[in-house]
Amino acid sequence: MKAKLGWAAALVAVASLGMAAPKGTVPRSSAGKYALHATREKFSIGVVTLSPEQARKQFVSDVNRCCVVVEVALYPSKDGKLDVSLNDLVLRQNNSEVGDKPASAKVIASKLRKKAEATRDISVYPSVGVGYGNGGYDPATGTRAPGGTYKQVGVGVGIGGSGPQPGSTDKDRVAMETELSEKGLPEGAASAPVAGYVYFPMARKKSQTLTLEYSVNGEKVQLRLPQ
Amino acid sequence: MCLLRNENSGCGWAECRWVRDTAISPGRTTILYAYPFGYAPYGLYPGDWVAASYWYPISSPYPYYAPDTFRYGNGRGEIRLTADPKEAKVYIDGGYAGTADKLKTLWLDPGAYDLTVSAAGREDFHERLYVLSGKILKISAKLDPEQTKENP
Repeated sequence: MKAKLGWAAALVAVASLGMAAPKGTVPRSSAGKYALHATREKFSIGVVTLSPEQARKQFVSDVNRCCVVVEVALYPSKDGKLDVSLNDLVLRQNNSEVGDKPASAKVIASKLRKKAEATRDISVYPSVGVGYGNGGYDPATGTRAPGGTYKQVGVGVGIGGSGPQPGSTDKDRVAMETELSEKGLPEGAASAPVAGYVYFPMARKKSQTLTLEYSVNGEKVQLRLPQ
Repeated sequence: MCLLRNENSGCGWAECRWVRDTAISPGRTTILYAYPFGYAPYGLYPGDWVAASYWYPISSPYPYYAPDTFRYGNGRGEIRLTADPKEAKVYIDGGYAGTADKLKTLWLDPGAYDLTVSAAGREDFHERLYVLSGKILKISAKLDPEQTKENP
């Protein structure tokens, strides 16, 4: 029984690994078809940065909350093999010496979940009330106090809804990880072109200049990304 | 592949205890896995042998989901589906879900799913869905006429 369970578990594990493996995106016909591209002896690279709007359309996960998303396509030279690794990519801000490495789908999914969890639906709504008071009896004078209109102004604050925040549950984290992983740049030995998204965990600022650096086998490429 | 239902477990449609199977032999069958259709009834584990008398295949198309599988539930995500033609058949992870005109809104647990929409004489529409709780995903499946293969 235990042996059977073990085999079944192994089968399920292999199946789930296969499903979660990054497939990336479909590489364009050549690196030159990307907004930014460069060619070296052993490879060509094509790069395009996703605007927040594009990222919103491309991903169900709210990647704009944490990351700069770059689509990277790598083309090994003829008869050549390229060892694709996320560690070979660096994003530098404002030509800084220190660069940011891409983060894995797992890390990004956890970050997004935490951010979603910390977010609450807060709605602030003004309230205005107008009423009429008809006065009252004044025991000292024995007369009736005059009535009149009155106005109340207030602010109501509503927090939270009935369900969980989108992307805040553990199942959401797994779903986001699957999406980010499946659309991510496939790592490993590549003899044919590969493409996929790379996630850099950094805040997007309007004034920043970003430079993507790719170095492999002693060859280096620097591409300045458009703002 | 066949989807089986355990009549003797006492579970109803709403409990959605579905098991997807890959091999059925006369008299016996092996449960390989239950995800994503549901869980095997209590006491059964992947790899267990189950007498076929406890299970029976539901009429075609196989496999298919219980009618209330895609109803609203807390923590689910919403898929708004439109298809052309409207009566196209909708499959989720290979399981038949219904026709597009009756499945305008599907509620699914967070996760990744393979959506296929198909109709006779049309090209299949495939899309990978990523569902998050509380999020709405709009899918428009326009099925192009099937191209006839010409012999060289």
